[in-house]
This record gives sequence, structure tokens and C-alpha cells, in this order.
Amino acid sequence: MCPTNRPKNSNKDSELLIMTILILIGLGILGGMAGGWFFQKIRFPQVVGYIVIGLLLGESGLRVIDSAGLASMRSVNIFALGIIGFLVGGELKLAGFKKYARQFITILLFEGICATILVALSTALIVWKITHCIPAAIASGLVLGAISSATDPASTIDVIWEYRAKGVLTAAIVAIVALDDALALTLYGLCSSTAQLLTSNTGSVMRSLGQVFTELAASVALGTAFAVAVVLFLKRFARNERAAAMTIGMLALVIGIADAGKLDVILAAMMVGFLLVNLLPRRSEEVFRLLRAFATPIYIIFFVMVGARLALKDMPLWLWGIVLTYIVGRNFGKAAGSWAGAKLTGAAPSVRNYLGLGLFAQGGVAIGLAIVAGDKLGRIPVTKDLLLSDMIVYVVTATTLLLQLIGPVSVKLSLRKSGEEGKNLTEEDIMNDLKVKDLLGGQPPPLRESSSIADAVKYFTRYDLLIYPVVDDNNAIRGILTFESLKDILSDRECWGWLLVADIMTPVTEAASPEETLHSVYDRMQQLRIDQMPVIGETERKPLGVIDLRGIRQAVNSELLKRGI
Amino acid sequence: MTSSDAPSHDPVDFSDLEFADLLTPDRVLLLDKIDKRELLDKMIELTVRSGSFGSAESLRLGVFGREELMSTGIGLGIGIPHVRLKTVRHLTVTVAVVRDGVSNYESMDELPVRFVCMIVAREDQHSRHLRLLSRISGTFKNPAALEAALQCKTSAELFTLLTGRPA
Repeated sequence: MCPTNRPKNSNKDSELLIMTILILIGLGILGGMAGGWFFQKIRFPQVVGYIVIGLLLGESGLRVIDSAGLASMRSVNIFALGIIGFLVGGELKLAGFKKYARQFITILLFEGICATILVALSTALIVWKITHCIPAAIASGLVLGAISSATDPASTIDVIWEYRAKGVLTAAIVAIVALDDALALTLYGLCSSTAQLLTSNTGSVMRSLGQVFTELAASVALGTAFAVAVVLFLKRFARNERAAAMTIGMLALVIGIADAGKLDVILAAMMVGFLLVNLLPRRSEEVFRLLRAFATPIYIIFFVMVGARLALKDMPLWLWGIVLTYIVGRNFGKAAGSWAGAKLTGAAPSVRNYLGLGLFAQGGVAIGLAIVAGDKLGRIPVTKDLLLSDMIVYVVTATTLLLQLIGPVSVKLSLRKSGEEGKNLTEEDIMNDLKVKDLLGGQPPPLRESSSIADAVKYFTRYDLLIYPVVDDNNAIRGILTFESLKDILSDRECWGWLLVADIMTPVTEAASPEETLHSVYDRMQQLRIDQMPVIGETERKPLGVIDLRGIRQAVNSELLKRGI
Repeated sequence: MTSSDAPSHDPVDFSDLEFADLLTPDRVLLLDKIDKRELLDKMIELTVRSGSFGSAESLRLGVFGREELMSTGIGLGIGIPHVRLKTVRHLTVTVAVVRDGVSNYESMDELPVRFVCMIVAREDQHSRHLRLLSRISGTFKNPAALEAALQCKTSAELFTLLTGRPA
């Protein structure tokens, strides 16, 4: 077609779509950050803040993000899910899991099946009470039960990262949230096909299961193929930034292909992460670190959109009864199942007692499964205004909302109770936690500019520093005396009698502030190739002491010891 | 006192001062009598006029501020007012010989100051500034150096003595 004949409207529409996507991305990131910041202040995991902002902006709130906006964000969401899958896969280091493989798989089966059974029974009972229709009750029970077995890896792992958790319970949570997607899909395939048989007399359990397993196998194969490609490329790319860019490109391809082929995006991307971290454990470390930084805004948008998507305005009141039953049954099932699985396999007490608490989050994937299940179940009325398929979507949406709010908080609680919170700290984290003012004890008084050189020499013999702040009569900083400056006149003792510290001090060109983090000041000192730096008060320009690299290293080491790391 | 009566001293080598590039004839003063403040003001004015410094006021603050901390009269009739400041363009020396001495200089040995050498350096010229201070005090430790400076009849003669160059 000749370019001049192209309809102008399609150009306008695509421009509008791009603008909408960009505005939603901007709104999502900034709004989410504000929500995350607020919830962090009130000691909630930040992910809760992202979701609440989504709720406020979305279908259940101000409708700034409406269904059209949400639809335009679909590819961003799919990409986010893939990145999350990749990073979760990167947490599955075989070296740490081999020892516990049998234990984790047993617990996974117990918690998943227990939740499914309890939710299926309790919700089926309520639906039967309302509809008096046994097939509808069993069908909804089966679908809701199967969906309830999955745990949301994204928000759970996000909390684990936020609170820097490390230990056997953390390993168990990571392994189970990574693997129970596969279990949930299997249970879902089984249950939704049975439900379909019951409600429409069509479909076959075996065929449906076969389809599920084909999908799972194809996702694993796709992930494996790309993982091999990533590993081969990583061996060639020396620079980490290039390696990270290449990995992102590869992931986009995996995610796109999996989505187009209706495969499990998370599982395929997870496979890439899993194989990468285990085949190239050292080389991939920096790539995962860069990807994690890259993923932060994607995570925020993803969770804001999760909140925005939850449409609960038109939900009948009585459905909240099923919602509560679902939540109680699911959480109790997960807790009891984890406890029983852990007890049976002799798992550590922290796993036995707190694993269940760490598995409460339910992700947006559950809503997707509910919608697909709804399509399979046909048009069965539960009440005169409500179809069974809509009921399932409402219940899963509402439970997802509540469980996304409860889940991250309970993960935090489980990590705290088990004592694994804050155990995955690096020296860099400690340096970000500590401030310059934390290291300013026992400093010598500053030198006066009118002090004699003999006095200055005494400082260098008495104290262990190589620089000293010099002050005037008002205690305001005038300069610093360095050992280098003193060296120039050390041999000329005759000058000592008539030279003053003011004559040999040097101006302050670099200084630390008491509120600065050790990480920032350490980086600056390394860049400037200096060992010590004066610390100057922010308002009155009064010297507060001297900070030195050796002191920073000592403080970080003792903090690591203090925190038992 | 004739030269035959004078106590014998080591010969003075003024080239140790390395004043050749630092001093110009217009920054050499030969005076009979003057007050400390007046002398320092005059020397500041000459320094500023030489173009090595931006504002006379900030130089005055620096020089007198240093004198307030402690007098720069280091004894043996020598005064070395000195300051390092950000606004200085290059290291500059200004010299004055006061034949009758500056009696209110508050020198360390309380003797009147006869040879005054003002050094104005840039803030980052730390080592050069200290070396110069050390060379001046080292040279004028020998009383013959002051004696030779006092013998000069004109400022041009004094300039030649200190730099080895004709004025």
C-alpha cells in the first residue's frame, strides 16, 4: 500500500496507545514508590503499598487505570512475570537445595494438597447450601481448591529480598513458591477438567492432564534451550553490563515465545534463571545483581497493576462469606500441610512452625486461572443474577486482594519469628545501614590554628590519625593538618618556634557529613585515594572528627559479627 | 662599626633565597622609620599593585589575621608576614628594609625588626611556601645577611643584592 494512503486514524490510535502506556508506567512507578515508602514507614512490606496504590487508582477505586489501560499494559505485565520467574529461578541454587530436596517436595505436596482439599470442601459446601446444585458446588469447589494451592512467588520473594532473609526456612519458602506453580497447574488441570465434565458433560480429564503436562514440558524445554544460549553467550561477554543486556534480550524472547505459544511464562523464565545460576554460579552473580536493579521499577508497575485489576465494586455481599471461607481454608491448609510435611520429614523447627505463614500470598496468576476456568464451565446460574463462572472470578479476585495484603505481612512475620530476617546482609548493606556519626566516638579534640608546630607534632605521636581538623577561636573549621604537610618542616626544627598550625594547614576540599552513609563516604574515599577524611557538621561547619577507611572496615566487621552473620 | 671590627660570619649566599623569579624592583622598599601597621599596609598595597592578588581588603584581613594569632617577627631583626589565600594568582614576595627598625613589631626576641619579607602564596602552594619561609629564616640566621641588606643605599641596590639581577 502506498504510504500516503495509510489511514491517519490508525497512526493516531497507536500514538495514543504509546502515550497511555507511558503515562501508566510513570503513574505506576511513582505512585507505587510513594505507596511502598508509606507502607515501609508503618513497617509493612513495600509490596503491600504498591498494591494499595493500584487499588486506589484502578477498577475498585478512582478508575484512573481502567480496563483499557490495563489491557494496554498486558505486555509489560507478561514481561514482569517473566523477569520475576527468572529471578526466582536464580534463587534456586542446587548446592543449597540438594540436602533438602526430599523434604521440600514432601512439604510442597502436603501444603498444596491440604489447601486444595480444605478450600474445595468448604467452598463446595457453601455453594451447595446456596444453589442446592451438587454439580455446581463440586465444580466450583474443585476449581477454587486447585487455584488455592498456588503461592505467589513475586510478592513472597520480594519480601524475602526486602528483609534480607537467609536460612533453612527462607530456602524452604523459595523452593516451595518456585515449585508449587507446577503443582498448582497440575491440580488445576485435573480439577478444572473434572468440573467441566460435571457441568457440561464435555471434555476429558486425561486429555486435559495431557495438555497440562505438554505445556509444562514445553515451557521447561523452551527455558532450557534459552538457558544454554545465555550460558554460551555469558562465557563470551566479558563486561557485566553487556552480559546483563544480552540476558534481558534473551528473556524477552523466552517470554514472548512462551506467551505466544500459550506456555507457562513464569516456568520458562524460571528455568533460564535456575540453569544459569547453577551452571555459572560465579559469573552469573553480577548479572543477577544488575537484573535485580533493573527489575525494581518493573516489579512496582506489576504490583500496582495487580491492585488496579481487582474489580470488586459490583460483587454481591454474600460472596464475601465464600471469600472468607476460602482464605481460612487455604491458609489453614497451607499451615497444617507444611507442619505435617515438615514433621514427617524431620525438618528444622523453624520450617515446621513458620513455613505455613510464609506461603499465604496469592498472585495475579490465580485470577487468570479463574477466568480460564470460568470459560470452561459454561453458563450455570448460581443465583438469578450470577453465573458460576463469574462467581469463581469474583471469589478469586477478592481472595487475591486480601491475600496479597495479608501474604507479604505474614511472610515478614514468619521470617522474623524464625530469626532469619536480616541474615543475608553483605558488607555493602551494613555500610548502607551505618552512618558516619555512628563511628565518631573517642575522637581527639581539633587542633587550634594558633597551636605551635610542637603541639601538632605531639598530636601525631599521641593519636593514631594522619589528618586533624584545625579550628579557629569559634571552633569553626579552618583547614586540616595532614602528616604530609607536617613532613615538609619536620627536619627544620628552627621553624617550629615561629610557625603555627595555621601556616602549615591545608584547606578542606573534601569532608564527610555525619548523616552520610558509610557506603557513600567509603566510595568517595576510594575514588579520591585517601585514607581519612574530616567530618564536618552540616549547619555550623564545626568539625566532629575524622573518619578513616580502616575504622569503617572494623565497624562493618564488628556489625556483621554482632548480627551473627 | 667598621668591617674590620665586625665579628666574622660565614659568607652570605643570597642565591639560596631563589628570589630571582619572585621579586621585582617595584616591590623592594628602603625606609628609615615606620610603624608596623603602616609598613604592612604599604607592602600589601605593593603586592596588590603587582597584579598577583584580587582585593587589597582580603589580603589585609589575611595578613593581619595571621599577625593576630602570633607575630611573624621571628627574631634577629627579621619579620616574615605570610599568608596563603585562595585568590592569590602566583607566589609573590615583597621586601622592606627599615634602617631604624620597626619597634612595635612584637618580635620573639623583642628587638626591632629591620628586614621584612612578605610572602603571599596561593592556597595550594603549601610546600613551596614552607620551603621559602625556611630558606629566608635560614639565610637571615646569619647576621651578616641583615648587615649586608642594611648597607644598601638604594632599593635598586637591595634588589640586586637579593636577586643577583640588576634592577
